[in-house]
Order: sequence, then structure tokens, then C-alpha cells
Amino acid sequence: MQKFRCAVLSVVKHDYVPHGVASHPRFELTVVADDPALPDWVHERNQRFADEYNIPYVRDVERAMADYDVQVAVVSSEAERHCDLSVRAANAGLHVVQDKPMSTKVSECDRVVEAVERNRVKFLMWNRNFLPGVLHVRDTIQAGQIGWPFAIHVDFYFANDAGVPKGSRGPDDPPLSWLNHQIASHVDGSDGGVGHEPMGELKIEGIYPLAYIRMLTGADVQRVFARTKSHFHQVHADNDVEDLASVTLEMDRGLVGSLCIGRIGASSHPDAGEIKIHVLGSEGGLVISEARPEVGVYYRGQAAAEDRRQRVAVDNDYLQMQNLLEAIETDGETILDARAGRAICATVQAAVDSGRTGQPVSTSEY
Amino acid sequence: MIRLAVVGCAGAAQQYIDIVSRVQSATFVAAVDADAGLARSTGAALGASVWATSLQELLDQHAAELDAVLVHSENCFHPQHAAQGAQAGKHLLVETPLALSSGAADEMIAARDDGNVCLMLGQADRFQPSLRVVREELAAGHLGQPGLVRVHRWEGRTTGGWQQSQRDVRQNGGTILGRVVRDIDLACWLIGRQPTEVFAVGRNPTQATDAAWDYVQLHLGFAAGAMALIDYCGALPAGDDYFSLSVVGSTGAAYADDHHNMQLLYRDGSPAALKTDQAQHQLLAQLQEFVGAIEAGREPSITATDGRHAVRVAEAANESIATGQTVHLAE
Repeated sequence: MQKFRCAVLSVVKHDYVPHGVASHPRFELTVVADDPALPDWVHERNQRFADEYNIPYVRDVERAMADYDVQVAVVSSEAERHCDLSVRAANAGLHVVQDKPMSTKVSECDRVVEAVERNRVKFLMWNRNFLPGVLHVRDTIQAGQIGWPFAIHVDFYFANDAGVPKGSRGPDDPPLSWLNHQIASHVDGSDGGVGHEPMGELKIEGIYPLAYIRMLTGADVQRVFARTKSHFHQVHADNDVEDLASVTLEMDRGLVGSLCIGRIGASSHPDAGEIKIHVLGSEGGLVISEARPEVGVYYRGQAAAEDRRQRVAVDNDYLQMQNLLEAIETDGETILDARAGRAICATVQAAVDSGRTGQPVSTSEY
Repeated sequence: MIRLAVVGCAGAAQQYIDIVSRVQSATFVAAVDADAGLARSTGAALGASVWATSLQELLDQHAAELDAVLVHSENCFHPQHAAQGAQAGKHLLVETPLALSSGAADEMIAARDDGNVCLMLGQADRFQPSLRVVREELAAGHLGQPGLVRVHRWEGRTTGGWQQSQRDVRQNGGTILGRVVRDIDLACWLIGRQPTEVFAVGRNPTQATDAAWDYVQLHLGFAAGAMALIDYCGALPAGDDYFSLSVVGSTGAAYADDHHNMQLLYRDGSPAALKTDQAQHQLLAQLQEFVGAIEAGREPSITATDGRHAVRVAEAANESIATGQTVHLAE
């Protein structure tokens, strides 16, 4: 059986994406590549990851794609470069696995959609749709146990900090730099939005719950109303982006959805966060904790940062890559393809704009 | 000892029977309902010797025998019953919604002032043990500034029953005024102010002809950025309701959640989830607060103004559904 050789095009954001790709036996990481004229910290992270897999790091994206006989690109750069790297990979005939967010701009997503479809390659936005809890929702709905769904809600609170609390900055202190904060917080994993452009929680994490909703309903979002706030962290307040948001979604076929999302801080939940899916159907309702199944582990001297309840039977990485594999081999679509990613990006942008204006915003404006 | 009359003996008033033996500093003396049999039986169960088929009849014949009226009649009768009680100098506990319009609520407040009586909004959810903990933690400052109140409340459709009648538009104000108004009040209470933006969506997925919404989503925006999102469904199959409330503050969060508190029953196949009852603590606590306010001559913890605010927000929600736009309110 063919083994797909993968080029990791930048790995400065989330190394869990290429790790996830490598978890499937039909995909192997072959080379790490990035553009040459980038800051030292970018090259250092790329080199470190290449060393971990004992593969070369090439400071020339096009040369790496041409010289290493690769079929798949794995993109996890700063958010602003995601789409450009994906377009270049698609133009080189590579299938693409891309980190979230798809982009900070809908117009960039359009470039990806065009390139992927023109080059007839497959595109997978990294997502969490194959977590056991999410699959449980999908299977329950598909089995008809709650009738046909008419309302769906995702509460998505990440119990991570993002630097110092709001209100920490002294009157003479300069505003916190978004990128510097992200670079500095990489060690403890709280760098959710690596990039030059500040991103609120809707842009950083919104794709996950919105992808749940899309998969579970098959419906497009038509209009949104949102409230947004910098509520917890100084870096969000200083950069005028939200770390807390609530969004009403009006969708196809009269479906109603909602999303409450926040980077609520480590003190606000004993584990990774409160993440729940509520679905109402014509014959019943369903409430699912995304974290389950999980195991509680508590012991003397336990580190504060350690989750007290550990998720188990998580197969999201393998199943995503299996999904991409099947899409490639059957010329099907992935679970979150470029058009779906683009639609979610438009929903997020509409929510951000609604939060700023206080008015409902149609996604067709994007 | 405060002497109580209950008006409207169906629905919530029946729950007083479960707590009557635990009430302190008060006693039930009368029961009123248009259904004479129900008034008589409820009165007997509460230990009251007097029953009547209208509040005015009770006041005409027994005014000197009571101090306060618990108004649990259909919502459309709240203003009338409050006016009659206030005019007779009786203190009033009026179940939420205070009235079916903010104008009617204003008239009730004026009647309270004219009668120099206590008028408390009956909103037992504020006394629910789990929600009291949330409120106390907020008040203690442990959660910081409230940023988000998230509510899911799902109820069953019981055709012809009391709950269905609560959603009747003419008698009880429909889904938002009749049911969701409680969660509006909870959100405002927990955030500690009134919303300035209201956006709502209503749907009738299971029956197109019902004038009341089966499903409502209500989105509230508050000054200083706080928000509340309420998901209400009145169309579950018969059985237990579901309720979940989360408060996310700047330094902490609280989760009062039926899902977390479910128990399991194994019998005949797949396990069933069961909710452990919080009993009638909230109703008893509410009644004691009312009695305490009367005895002390103080303002009750849930005022008529609170009730008026919740009604105004409910009106704005109905307006938002009708127009599809955000409704802006003065704080």
C-alpha cells in the first residue's frame, strides 16, 4: 500500500497537527520546510521539530516540495501564512492538512478554495469532530433517537490562561504585544493564536465548535448575532480582541444554534474546560460532554496544571487522517474541506462584526 | 403570625401543601379559585378554614382575617388581583411574570404605593439551593466580574395541562412572558444589572399552529460587556425537565447543571438518567423571605421593580422576534 510522504510546511504554531498526521501508518513525515526570510524563532521551532523526527529542515518551501517526492503538505505556521502556504502546496499538486484558524481573512480562504478545486487535491482543516463525545452525538442523531434536530448549542470554555489577568497593566506600562505574548507562552501551551495579527477566541478556537455544528446539522449559517468581550486577560484587552463571546446562529432550514466560547482561565474549571453539546430534536433532547469518556486521577503532590480527569479512547488524530486517506483514495470530500472551512471563517467574521456593532450580521456579506 | 391567602390553586400553589408544616411565622387562612372544589380541597390541605371563588369575594367577607395574598392566578389576572389586594391593605406575593405588560406592571407598583403594602415578585428560582450557591459565590467576589450567564431550560409539552396553559398567549403571555421571563430575571439578578440589548429567535418546529413558541433563544447584552444567552424549549416529550446554568466570571466560574447531577437507574435495557430532586426548598425560602419582609417592614429581596424589568425585557424579546433586529433598552 502506498505510504503518503508529507512535507511539514512550518510548525511554529501547533506541533500536535504534524504529530497527528504521523499517528496514521499510511502517512510519514518526510521533510520540514519554510521560507528563508523569517525570524530566528520560526527557524528554531522548525529545526527542533525536524530533529525530533530525524528529518531534514529545508529553508525553501518550493524546493522541498519538488525534491522530496511528497504528496501531502501539513501547514501549521503563523495564522496569517496558513492560506498562502496551503495555496502553494495545492499548486504543487499536494493534498493539504491545515491548522486552525483557516485564516484571519475570508478572502484568503477563497484563494485556498480556488487552488484546491483547480488542482483537484484534497484539503482537511484540522478539527475535533472525531472525538468520542462528538461521534456519540452524531451517531445518536443519525439513529433517529431525538427525531430531526432543530436547535443545537455548543458551550466551549477552555480553562487556559493567556498571560496576566486583565487589569494587571500599570498606567505607565506599554500594551502587551500579541506576537511576543504568543512566543513567550509557547512553553506552557497557552499560545492559542500564534500570529502577528491579534486574534480573539472566536478566531482561535471557534472553528472547533462551529465544525461540530456543521457536521451534526449539515446546515450553513445564514445570520449571526454576537456579544463579545475582553474579559479575562490583559493581552486580549490590550489588543482589542475578545476572550469571551456568545453567538446566536440562524441556519438553513430554520435551524437555530448557539455558541458560547471563552478562554476562561485555569482557575475556572478543574480540568481542560467545560465543553458541552446540547441538541434539541422533534422527539427529544441530547446533552453530551465532549470530554467523556474520561478517568479521574487525583494524588498528593499533583501538579496544579495537570488535568484531574484525563480523556481516554481519543482517536481523533488517526480518524482524521483516515478520513483524508479515504477522500484521496475515493475522490471524496474530507470531513472539513476548504469550502466548509471558508464558511466557518465567514461565520466567525460575521460574529466578530456583530459583536462590534450590536446588530445581527448576514454571512452572505462575506 | 402572618395570615396568608392563596389565590389560584392550580399549578404552583399546590406545592405549598408539601411545605405547609415547615412554614414559620405564618399560617394559611384562605384559598381562592374559580373552581370551588379546588379552592375547598386546597384550603383544607393547607389547614385553611376559608375558601372562596374570587379574591374580591374573600376580601368582601373576610378581609379582617388575613394579612397577605399569594397571587398564583393566571398571569392575565395578576394586575387585577394585586390591585384588589393592595386596595384592601394586603401585602402581595405575585408569581412571575408580574404582569403581561410593563404598563400593567407600572400600575401594580402604583397600587402598591397607594396601599402602602409590600409587593414581592414570586420568583422561586432565585431561592433554588443550587442557584443560591452561585449567587453567593458571585456576591463573595470569588468569581470576579460576571461576563456570561448561560442557561439551558428544556420543559415538556403537556397538552391541556398547567404547563401548556402557562404558554397561552392571552391568559399567560406566551412562551417568553409565561416561561422564559424567569430566566431573564435570573440573568439580570446574577449579572446585577439590566440589559441594554435584546436579540431573540423563536421557532415552532413541532407544531406550526401554536401561537406560543416551542423554542426560543434569547440573547441579552449588558453595559460593560456582560452577556446572557438563554436557550428555552417547551417541546420535550413528557418527563423530567432539564436545566443548566453557568456563570463565567473574570476570576472563576460556577456550573449549576442537571447533567452533572444525574443519577443512573439500571432496569430493562439501557440505563436511565435520573435527577435528584432539590425538593421544595426554594418555595419555602421564598415564602419565608416574604413573611420576613412583612414582619420587618422592609423591602423584599425580589422587588416589583425587578418584576417590571423582566417583563420589559420579555416585551423587547417578542419585538426582536417580530422584527428580526436587536432591540435597545435604557439600562
